[in-house]
Amino acid sequence: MARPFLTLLIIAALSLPSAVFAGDRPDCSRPLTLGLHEHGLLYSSDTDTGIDKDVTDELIRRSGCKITVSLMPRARIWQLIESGALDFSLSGISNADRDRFAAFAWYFANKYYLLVRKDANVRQLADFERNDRLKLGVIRSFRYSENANILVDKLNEGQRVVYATGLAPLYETLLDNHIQGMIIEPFDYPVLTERKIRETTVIVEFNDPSIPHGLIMSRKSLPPEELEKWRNIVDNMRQDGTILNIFKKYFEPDIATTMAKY
Amino acid sequence: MPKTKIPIFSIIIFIISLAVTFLAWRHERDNARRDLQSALDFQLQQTTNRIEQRMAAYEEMLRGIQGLFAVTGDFRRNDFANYVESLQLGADFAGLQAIELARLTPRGQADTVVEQVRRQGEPDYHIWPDSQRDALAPIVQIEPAMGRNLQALGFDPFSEPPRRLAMEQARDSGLTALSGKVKLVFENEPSAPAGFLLALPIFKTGAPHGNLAARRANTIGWVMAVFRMGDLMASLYGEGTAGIVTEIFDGTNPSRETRLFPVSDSASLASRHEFAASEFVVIAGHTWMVRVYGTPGFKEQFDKDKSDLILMAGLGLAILLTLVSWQMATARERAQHIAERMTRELKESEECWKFALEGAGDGVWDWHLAIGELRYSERWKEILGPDSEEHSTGLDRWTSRIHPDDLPAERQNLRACLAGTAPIYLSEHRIRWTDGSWHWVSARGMVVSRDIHGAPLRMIGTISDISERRSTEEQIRHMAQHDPLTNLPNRTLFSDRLHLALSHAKRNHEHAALMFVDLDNFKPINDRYGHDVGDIVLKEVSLRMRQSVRDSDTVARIGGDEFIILLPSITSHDDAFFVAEKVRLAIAQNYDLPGHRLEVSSSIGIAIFPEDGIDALTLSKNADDAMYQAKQSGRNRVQFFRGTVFSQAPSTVD
Repeated sequence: MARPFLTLLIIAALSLPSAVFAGDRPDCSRPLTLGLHEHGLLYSSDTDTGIDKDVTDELIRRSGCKITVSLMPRARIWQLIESGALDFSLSGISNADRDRFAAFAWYFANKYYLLVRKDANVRQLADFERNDRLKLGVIRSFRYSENANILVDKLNEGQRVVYATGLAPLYETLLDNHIQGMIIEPFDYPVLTERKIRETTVIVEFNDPSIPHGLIMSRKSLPPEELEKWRNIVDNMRQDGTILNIFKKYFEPDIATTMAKY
Repeated sequence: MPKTKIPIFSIIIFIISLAVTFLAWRHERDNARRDLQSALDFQLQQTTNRIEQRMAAYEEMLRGIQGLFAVTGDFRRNDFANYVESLQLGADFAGLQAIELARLTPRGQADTVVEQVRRQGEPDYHIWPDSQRDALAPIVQIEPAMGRNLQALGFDPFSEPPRRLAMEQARDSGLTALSGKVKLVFENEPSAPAGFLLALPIFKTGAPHGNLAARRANTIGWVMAVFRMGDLMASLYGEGTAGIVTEIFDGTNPSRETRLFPVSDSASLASRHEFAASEFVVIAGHTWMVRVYGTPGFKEQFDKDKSDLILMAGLGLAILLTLVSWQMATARERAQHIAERMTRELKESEECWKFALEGAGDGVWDWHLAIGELRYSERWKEILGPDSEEHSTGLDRWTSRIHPDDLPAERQNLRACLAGTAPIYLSEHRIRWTDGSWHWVSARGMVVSRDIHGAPLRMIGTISDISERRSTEEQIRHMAQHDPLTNLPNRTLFSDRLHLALSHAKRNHEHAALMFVDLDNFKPINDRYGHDVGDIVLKEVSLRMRQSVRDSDTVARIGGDEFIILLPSITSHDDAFFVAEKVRLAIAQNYDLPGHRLEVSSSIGIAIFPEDGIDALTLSKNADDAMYQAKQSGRNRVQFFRGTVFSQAPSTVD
């Protein structure tokens, strides 16, 4: 196992929500593991807060399970989910490859945007692709919406993609003009440098539909009936407004509603 | 030969070949580059994964120590030493130089801390460097406590920005924090390898640290792992992958100042290399830039680039294809040229022959038997005369106009030639013109092509007008057999006819008569009136004699005034006598010449076959004798060889 323990042993809340009946409770006979990754408003280790952290706490509370939470790079999270060494992670998106080894319980959806420096003179996606001098920063193993993925793959062919294991160096190099663009989600703005970044950059849309994000569950470590139980928990969190309330902590109400009530 | 030029076809092939070669070359080169880049990317990911996992292990180790303090609650030297020793940090933790314990110390309590440490067995302990900061964080314990590690005892890491930053970051987040590039305390050399440290806060036992304020309020110190970058990397990679150089920089800006690894200044920055890949790795809230690049050896080792080979082969092939197409194109041109020349020569030759043949007066014909078509020259038409069957084709159309006497031979010759038994067709025959006249022609021809079964397909030939030749030949033959003055058969022709008549008479047991006619007293006419008058008389005598006999009888002149008459078929002596008398009387008629009236008589001797002889010689001699007797008997009379009948007919022939 890897990386720091955020909460060494998080013990389940003593009382269970009334919505979850005994037969619907997940199997808590062993400690479960959940991986968080440092990613804008999803989770910041500087403050030990974020959407994913809140969702994690709610999952622990509702399931009554002991879940060990670790912080690790996203690429490593996917490797461990695939191998079965990690049970959960959050805010994951699907693709054909991931569907093989992971199951999902969706709880929000959002679009991807190209965040690009104003001085790069990019009005639309094609402008970025055309200009050979422009480099794009992405997080290794991240997949985005369709047009975003196409752009990444094309630029990768021309060795114009800079990889990182976290968002922080990408923002840093974007401000240093070592990269000129990066693909972000609404919750990706860093807490500390958000203002400076908004001043320096513009947003270009990918014209893709919103992509659902959800709880990532390892098919290797969790049997199908357990997956279903965890899905039920997440669905209940959506239905009773818990998810929306979490998002409202981090976004303006209208944006939060758009993301949580997709 | 026309002027040689590069055909457009070859140029197009050359251009297409070059384009294909270029595309193949670029494709292969790009593939090879991609392969090389993939190898580098793989190496890069391997490197970052190893670093992350190793650092995660270190973080966990620190968390263990943090847990120790959570339990013990104070800085007890032996507990810490025993714990670290029990970790049994072996080769897997190579690169870790020391684990330090820093105690957060308000300035006012510095002396107390110094005193405590000195009492615990470090009599020389002091805090350094001196500063006026409000808060200090002197290192109060180092494990393993041996050798150069001990040099750091008492050092205040808060005095150095990179260390302090990491410690504050760890304190605020409650998590492990990685420092920037630092020079380790015990490193005295200016070119000493770079180092860094991992810091984790220690909180008061039982005190809350769930939020920032609580963490800041309850932090009592830090546990820090100190690393030498070179040793860490060596433990991760050993000798490393041949041909691939790994560089690690502190932060996101690669430079000599930020380089953590390798230590050596001789290593160049990766940006100058053709094949390089980099990635930002966030470790414990701090960014490292990991960059790999391929040395020339890397390219040799991993390079599967066959693009140069493809380029050379493609160029060679392009040139080869172009030359071949050029050859093909010009070969066709050459063949066309040869064909044109042959056609021209053939045409010239044909015209030449046509001219020669036409000049020689010959007509030319070309008979395509398969389609029944006959082609011919103008001269051919002239020779054969106007044709009422212009619309019909084929040589056969002339058949009906061939003289019946000549037709069988002509047909036979033609059939033999068509059948191949005779090499050429040769025929001289007469053709009837529409005006009814006959014209001699000489036709020649040969079969020039046959099908696989030998059937004739085409026959060509000539035709010549030989009417004149034939006429001349006829004239010569006539002159050889006739007396030029009287146009009567001469002795030669008469001799032939005599023999013919005798043979015929013998075969049929018939009688024939031979008469010798000699003019009486003719010489005086010549002498008296001249030869011209004599000739006129002779001509007139000849005419009267011919008029006196049947067509089947022959009158010939055998000497100056001597004639001979052959009656090939008689039934009695009287027949001969009557004819002889008729002749004698006709000759005896007066000859009215301008200014003269002449009289000529004749003596005629008759010999009868077979009584008077059965051969020509005997009969001639006997007829001559009879004529002589007639002369002797007074001229102007008829005398049989046997008997003396004188102007008197014998009763019968025995």
